[in-house]
Amino acid sequence: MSKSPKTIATINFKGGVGKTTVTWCLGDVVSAFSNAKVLMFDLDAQMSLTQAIALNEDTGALEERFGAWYEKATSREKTIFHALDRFARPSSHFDFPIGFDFIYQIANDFHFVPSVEDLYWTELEVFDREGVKDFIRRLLGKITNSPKVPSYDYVLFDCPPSFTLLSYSVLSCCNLVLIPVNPDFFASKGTNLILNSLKMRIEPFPIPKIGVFMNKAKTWGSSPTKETAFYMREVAQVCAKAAKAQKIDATFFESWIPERVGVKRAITSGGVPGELVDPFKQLWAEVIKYIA
Amino acid sequence: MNEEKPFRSPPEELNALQAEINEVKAVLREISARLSRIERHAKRAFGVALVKKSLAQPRAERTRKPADAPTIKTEEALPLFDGLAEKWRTGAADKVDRELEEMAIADLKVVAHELGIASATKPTRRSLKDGIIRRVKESVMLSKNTNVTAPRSEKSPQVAPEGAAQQGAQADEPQRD
Repeated sequence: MSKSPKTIATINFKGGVGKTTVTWCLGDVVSAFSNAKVLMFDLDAQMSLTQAIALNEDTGALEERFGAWYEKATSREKTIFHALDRFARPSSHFDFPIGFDFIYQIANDFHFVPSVEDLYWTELEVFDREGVKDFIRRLLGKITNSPKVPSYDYVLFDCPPSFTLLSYSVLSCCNLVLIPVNPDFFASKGTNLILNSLKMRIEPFPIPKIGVFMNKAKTWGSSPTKETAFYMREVAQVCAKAAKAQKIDATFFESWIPERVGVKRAITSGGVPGELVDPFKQLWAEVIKYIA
Repeated sequence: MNEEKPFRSPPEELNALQAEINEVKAVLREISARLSRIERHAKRAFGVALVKKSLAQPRAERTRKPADAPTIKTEEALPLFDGLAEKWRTGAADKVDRELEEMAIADLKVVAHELGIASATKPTRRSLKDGIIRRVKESVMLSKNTNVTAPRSEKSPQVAPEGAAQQGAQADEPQRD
């Protein structure tokens, strides 16, 4: 049996904190600077990650190679929505063979399962909510055991900014919940909510480890500004208190990612900006140490 | 003077340096003349004694009164803030207000600076106090938990949903490490 990959879900109920960019940057840096094979899921019906990866900014259409692949995947019913649809059918067998018609190869060691707009309607169309909880767990099992795709070291999930059925499914089986926060009150506020309510929401499944870090840190020279440092300190205290009160594994990573304008555009232009490579490497080193 | 051009001989280099010194001297003479003019105008406008007194004192001493010096160190600012937030959390908002009111404006500046509160060049006591209280409120709100629903474990016994255990035993089930 193949080795199970480490799974990391990026989530924050606040939109715009950088979940999509962080997920992609981590995937890109890890696959480019190590021997690890990375699979990344876009579970957000807004399709931000999918479009950022494959949108041709000049024409506004999907990039040619991805566009052709995506069209084929949709017509053959090999999207994440179709996988969920098969899983939710009242049948004991989850019939959904895994291959490169379901997984898109961005680079040699960096693969991707795109999103579809139909995910907007999963909440309405899927009636067996309890059953959906196991969807990602079972899908990962299929991917791990499929001889047609490589054995992945890490699986990253870009979750929507809300507690949907799919994010519920991811959180109940992942190794790490990665929460990016920003140096402002509203982007930091959600941390306490997740830390203090996640356990009760996903019971009786064990709660995964939770790692919080500062994204889009404002800097002065090479250090965070006093204002950013204030929010880092406050969120670190929230993590420590919640870990104690809820008896969960929650930590605030020391690594932080500086704010850079237009970083999302870097996804379409092919690589993590040079000045962000080291910060993401440092964050990854902390993540790996934490979930080891 | 063109610094990129190499000199052919030492006398040539000396001549170039001499020319540069003359240029600097001319600039200094101009500055001196302008200062004299400013002093003349100031004496006329504010009186001789006041100008002499202010010129006799170094600039740093003139701009900072002894009363402006903070009594707390920068490393004491955040623990002091934590104390204020804790008091606010326990409902003693009036105590926090009084404590900030009693603090010297220089100390308020130190705390505000360490909390990253943006302020004008000469902030008022009121603006500093308001900024610190805003941060105190944020700190309290960030750690406030307002879940109104009971944990699932309290609603029903903690058992895995039907089928979860069987599904976990299936061949395509990955194990969480």
